[in-house]
This record gives sequence, C-alpha cells and structure tokens, in this order.
Amino acid sequence: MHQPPLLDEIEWSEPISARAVPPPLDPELARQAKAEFGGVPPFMSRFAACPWAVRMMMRFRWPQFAYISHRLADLILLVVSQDSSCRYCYGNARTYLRLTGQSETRIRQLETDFQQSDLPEQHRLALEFARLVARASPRPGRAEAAALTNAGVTSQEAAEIATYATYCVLATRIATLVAVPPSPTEKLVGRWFSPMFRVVLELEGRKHRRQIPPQPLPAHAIATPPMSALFRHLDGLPLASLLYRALTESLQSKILPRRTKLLLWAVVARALQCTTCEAGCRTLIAEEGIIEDEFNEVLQRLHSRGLTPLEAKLVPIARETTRYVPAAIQAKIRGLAAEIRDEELVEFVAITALSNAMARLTVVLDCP
Amino acid sequence: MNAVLVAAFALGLVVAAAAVLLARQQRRIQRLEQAFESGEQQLEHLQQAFQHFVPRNVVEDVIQRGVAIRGEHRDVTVLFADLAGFTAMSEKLPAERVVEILNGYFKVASRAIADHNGHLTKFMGDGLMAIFGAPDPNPWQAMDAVRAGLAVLSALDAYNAELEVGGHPPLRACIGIHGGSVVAGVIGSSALVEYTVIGDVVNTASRIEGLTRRFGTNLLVSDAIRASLDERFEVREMPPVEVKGKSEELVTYAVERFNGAA
Repeated sequence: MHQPPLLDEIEWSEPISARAVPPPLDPELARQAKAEFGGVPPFMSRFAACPWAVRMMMRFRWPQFAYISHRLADLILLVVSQDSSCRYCYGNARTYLRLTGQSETRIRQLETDFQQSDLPEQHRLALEFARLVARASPRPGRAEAAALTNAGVTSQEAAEIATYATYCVLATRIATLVAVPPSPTEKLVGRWFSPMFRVVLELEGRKHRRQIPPQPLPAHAIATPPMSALFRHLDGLPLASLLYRALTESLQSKILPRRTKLLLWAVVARALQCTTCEAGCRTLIAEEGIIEDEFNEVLQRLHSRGLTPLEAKLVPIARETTRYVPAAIQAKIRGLAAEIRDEELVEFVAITALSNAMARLTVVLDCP
Repeated sequence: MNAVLVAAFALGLVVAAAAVLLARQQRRIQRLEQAFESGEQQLEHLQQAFQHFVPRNVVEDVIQRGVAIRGEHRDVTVLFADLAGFTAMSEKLPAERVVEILNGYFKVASRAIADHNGHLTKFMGDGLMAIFGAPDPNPWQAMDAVRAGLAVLSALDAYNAELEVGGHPPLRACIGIHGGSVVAGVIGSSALVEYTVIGDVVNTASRIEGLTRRFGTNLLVSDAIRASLDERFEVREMPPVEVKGKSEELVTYAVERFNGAA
C-alpha cells in the first residue's frame, strides 16, 4: 500500500491570518461554543465573519451516525486526514485515538498499512472505500462497492461511510486552506496524567457518541433539484441533513454573491469530474443571469471577461483546493488573502471546502 | 513427606522449564517483531523512493497488481524541455560542476512543473519530459502546461543570476508543448519501470521543442495547444514547417508571456 506522509512529514505553513482583527463571534454562537468547547476555539473565531461556516463547524463537532460505529468513524478520520495531508485534522485524529487507549504501535500500523492490520475485513474495506471517496481519483466503482457488500456491509452503511469520509474532506479542506495550527492537545499524549483524559473522553463520548435512529431529510431536500438525486440516496443519514443545511445556508449568505459561489462550486466540480454537481450549478447559475457561453468559458479556461475582479481572483484558486498538497495550496491562499477582504476569504474557504465534500460525495451515486 | 517433596520438586522443574520456554518464545517473538519492523521500514523506504519515479496511485496499483498491467488511452499534454548548447558547454567543465549545475536546473524546473499540476516522467541528459492530465485527469492541462513552461523560463532566469555570480554563462531552456491522445501506463520490466506516455503526441512535442532553436524562441506550442489558450496568453504565430515523420506542415506559436494573475 502507498505510504501517505506521517504526521511530522507534512509541510504546513504558519496560520493564514486576517489582515485586520476579525469581528467578534455572533453572541448566540459564542454562547453555544462556550457550552460545547468551554470557550471559543481560535479556528472558529477565525471564521466569525462567516456565521454559516461557524454553525456548520459547530454542528459537525459531534457527528452522529445511524449505521456505522463511532470507532470506525475515528479510523476513517485518521485515514482520510492522513491521506489528505492535513496536519491539524490528522494530529487531532491521532491524539483522540491515543487518549482513548489506542497504543502507539497500533496507530502506527494503521498509518503505515491498515490493510495488514488486525482490523476486521469489513473495517479494512470500509477504510479503503472511504479513502477512494475522499480522493475521488480514481473513483470507487462497482468493484469496491461489491467488495463491501460481499463483506456484509449494507448500502446504508456504505453511504454513511462515504458521507463521513467527505465530511472529513470538508474538515481537512477548511483546516488546510487557513493553515490551522496543530492543536495543543497533541502535547497531552504520553504524559503521566493522560490516562485521566481517557476517563473524561469516555464520559463525554457516552453523551455524544451514540448511534441514533435514521433521520429523514426534509421533503424539499429530496424533491428539489439540483442535488435531489444525491440527497435521495443519502436520506436517513444524520450527516446528510447537516450537509443539506450547510449547503442551503451557504447559498443564502450575502458575503460573496450567489453567482460567485456557484461558479466556485462548478469549478471544484469540474476539477473533480463531478458532472452531477456541474449540471446542478449550471441550472442554478442560469437563474443568476449568467449565460451558458460565459459559464462554459469559465469552466474551460478558469477565466472570462464577464467575471468580476473578485471572481477573476477566486476562480483559478478554487481548482487548487482539490489538491492534497498543503504547502502549495497555502502559498496560494496566502497570496489571495493579501488581495481580498477577510470575510470574502473565509467564505471562499468555507464554500470551496463544502464544494469539495459535495463533489466527492456524489461519487456514491455511481455505486450500486 | 518424600512424595510431597518429589511432587514439589517436579512441579518446580515443570514451572522452571515452562518459564525457560516462555522466555525463549518471547525472545523469538521479539526477534520476529524486529525483523518484521525492519522489513516494513525497508519496504516503506522502497515505496518512498519508487514514488519519485511513479505517481502515488500508480505505486499502489503496481504493489497490488504487479507491473505490466496498467495501460490506458488518455488525453494529455506533453512538455519537453532541453538546455540549448549545454552538451558543448559541459565538455569544458569538471564533471562535478556539470552535475551540480544540471541538478540545480532540474530542481527549479521540477518545482515549476509540480506547481502547475504537471508530472515529471523522465530526465534525458539535460532534457526533461513532463505530462499534464495523467495520472490524474486535469481539464486545464494545456493552460497548466504553458504556464509551467513560462514558470520554468522565469525560474531559470533567477537560477542564471546565481550562476553568473559563480562566473558561469547563463543557461537557455528550449520548451515544446503538444497535446492529444496517448497510451499512458507503467512501462518496463521488473528491473526498471517508469510511468510514461507513448504516442505520436510525444514525438510531436519533441519535434516542436527542436524547432525553438530554428525560430530562436524559448517556448513553442502546437496549434492544438494554442486553441486552448485565452487572450491573456501573448502568442506569435511561426511560419509552418515540415518536420520529420509528419505529412503536413506543422504550425506552431511562440508564447511570449501570460498577462493574468500569477
């Protein structure tokens, strides 16, 4: 198996900070953050100018599942965050596993070759499937889906694995694009008092890490184009309703014009060869007054005379967000940060992260 | 009493023997673990080294399915770059200096290509070949390849400034770019493999690179590539020329600069 970089091998830049002091977090969100985290985490403050992004991060704090176990989800986060070279998420996933009792040797084996580990076959196949969904190139196909089914994984479980893998992509994109620094909790691992954290985390886990019954999506989510086919496929998954809410709120936000956000989404979709998402954007963008030829030109050349000056800066960088090379992406985002307003930057980061997740998730539609 | 002593003695012997066996077994397991770990590390180093030559998803495929199984038709853009006059220049320099200068150039050129989503497939003397659009698909491959070519020239300018300090004459790169359908795959034997592309596109790109000397330009692209560029690329049409292996004259364009954002 290919060896993705280990934690210390990832090239990671200094945080990409705002030129001016970001605005304070919305009081209601700040109150919720204090209740959840005991304070407002710095990376959340960083997105204060874009409330829907903060709400999205808060809702994803304790992802809930209807079909798969939280332990499998922990492993998916480890594998996907390592594979996408996100220093922040990978470090967090690793720390959580260590603090909840996984040995260094076992984690190292998962990092270097989970196929050879003593994980049950279902879990190994699930991790491989998650990795393919998160990468989107090559896409997981019928063979991978059949392998999962043959190992006894149900279609709902497979959909939940894929959805969680793309949630991990969403998290890794956000952390990578603004270069969130490694969490200080990493330093707790291996300390004499670290076993105490295991107790705390297990108690906390009992409250938040429970399987819940399937959560039906709102009727309009599965009936309204352009993403109705995807959401119909994911109906019942608790994470799907969170994604749907994030998607709806992102398009309602007024920081970047709606047409700009749709263009960014379309570019990410083209980069990941997601024709379903691209077609969806094409439908929606027509309502914004962008003519077909102009839309096609943007997708073909990442440029058009009809783009606003802001769009002309954002569109070429949107396609870079699909790459898993943090140092190169962060250098480009840093350059962008010097040219645009901070609220535009954070919404750009959030919308491209979400587009990455949506486009990669759409591959499950191709699976039987 | 004696029977109890004998039984205790026998039990002691059994326990001692079991302890010895257990200790031996543990040492054996330890040795096996060490051997396994060392083998794993070696494999890891090998994989990492292999990835310098072959893209990562191809490495996985080769490991899982073996060599000589991959081959697919792909639309790609091929970039050839060569250093004009370097061979003659190298004959007058100490071998170490030649290697040092060449490695310095390859370092900056590789960086420029990777920054524009290109994949370096081979070095040939003072030349190199890069592909865009494989192994990962890239809808903007032609544009990326041309911008990579311009970035190589720009990086070479900076490198030449460094060489000048050491009293070395500047290097001049010649770049040719063409695109189309090729067969892409892992090619070679168990002794030596590489991920590369084969087809007329490759030969044409190489011929176009050769034409840069004739036209006195640094970066030439084919008509097919020109069609994918927008007005931000400043290009100049070159006279059509006959080239070896082509029934029709080849139309090329010199790319002068890119007027968009970096």
